Amino acid sequence: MDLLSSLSAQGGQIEQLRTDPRHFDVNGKMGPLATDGTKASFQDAMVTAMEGINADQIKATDLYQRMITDPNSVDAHDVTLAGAQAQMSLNLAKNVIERGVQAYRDIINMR
Amino acid sequence: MSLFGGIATSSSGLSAQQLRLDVISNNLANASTTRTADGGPFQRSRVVFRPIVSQPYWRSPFLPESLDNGLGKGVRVNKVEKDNSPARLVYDPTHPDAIKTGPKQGYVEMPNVNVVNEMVDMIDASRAYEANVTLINGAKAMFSKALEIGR
Amino acid sequence: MFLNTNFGKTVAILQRGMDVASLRREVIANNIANADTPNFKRSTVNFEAQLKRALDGEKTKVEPAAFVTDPRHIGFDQKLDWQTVKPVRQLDYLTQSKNNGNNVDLQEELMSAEQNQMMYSLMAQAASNEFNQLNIVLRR
Repeated sequence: MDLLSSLSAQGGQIEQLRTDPRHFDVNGKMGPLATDGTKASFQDAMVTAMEGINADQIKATDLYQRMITDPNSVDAHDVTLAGAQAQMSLNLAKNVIERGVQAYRDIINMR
Repeated sequence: MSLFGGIATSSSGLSAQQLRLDVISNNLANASTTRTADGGPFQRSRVVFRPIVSQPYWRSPFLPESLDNGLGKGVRVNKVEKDNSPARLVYDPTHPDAIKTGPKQGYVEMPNVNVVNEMVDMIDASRAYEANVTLINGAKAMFSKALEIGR
Repeated sequence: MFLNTNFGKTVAILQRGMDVASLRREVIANNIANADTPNFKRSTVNFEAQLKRALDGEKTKVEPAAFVTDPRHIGFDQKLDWQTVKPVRQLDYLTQSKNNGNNVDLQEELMSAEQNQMMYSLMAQAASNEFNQLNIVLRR
């Protein structure tokens, strides 16, 4: 266990030793540890983007379904906002992936 | 919050004000009716409104009175009751409905309808109706704007 | 088509919803046109409750399941297929009628017509959103 040095104290505050995401941080919240920057690969970025798009689509279609079966449980702006958000995230992801693939091709074809 | 909640609330207001207007027009039409089928002069009616609340009326006695019932759902007509104010007496011995005997001999019992009050109530009811219609138009406009999101 | 995907199912449900909305429009127009006819009883269209039951039934599962080997066996959970739910026009003879036997409330019918119109617009926009998403991916 590494002891805390007196240099890590700033005024009256000292950094907490967090080794688990469930340890509380300075603000009293649990959360992910401050990572040292994992290397992001294209595959990770694509998978995360796909999950995000899927979640948006499912949320939009779920709202459409609830709008028909139970009209008094949804709001009009919720439904249209969810639909617009799903469309926009799909558009964004498609463009990002397209640019990424094009950049890869440019680099490969560089002679 | 719901898709049609505001419209349903305003629509209940419209129905209630319409019924009130019908009652007022009945009162005005019978403002001179001195004899009804029950005997006695015509008695004016009035409507009693109650709010439509999400919780029942009975409150626990331990709750303070200022705790409100939350978002209501409009208005409904509780009952249409007769007004039991005493009738007006007009002296007219030649009238066929005049009282024949007793201390009020020669008087005719006219209905307890005050035309001026009824007219004011009618104006009030029609203004409330217009206000509800404005609210419904506003709700429809908001809905159209929501449809324009992401179009 | 594509009824087992999210896209296909949503479009099918929206299409059925729009069918019901147009049927409802006709029924309400009939009610309003007969607002003064003596002894006329208004009609309503029932669809949403059945559809909700069918769609919710897909999520629940009854344990233990019955041992069904023959098509004539009755299982423990009688699932209602949402594709077979049809709108039903019902005569409403239970509400209070006026003196001439007519129970059409003009306010209520007009409000139902407004709500129906709003639902139809919302459903049409949702359907066009779904197809636009396909266009985003397919269009080069």
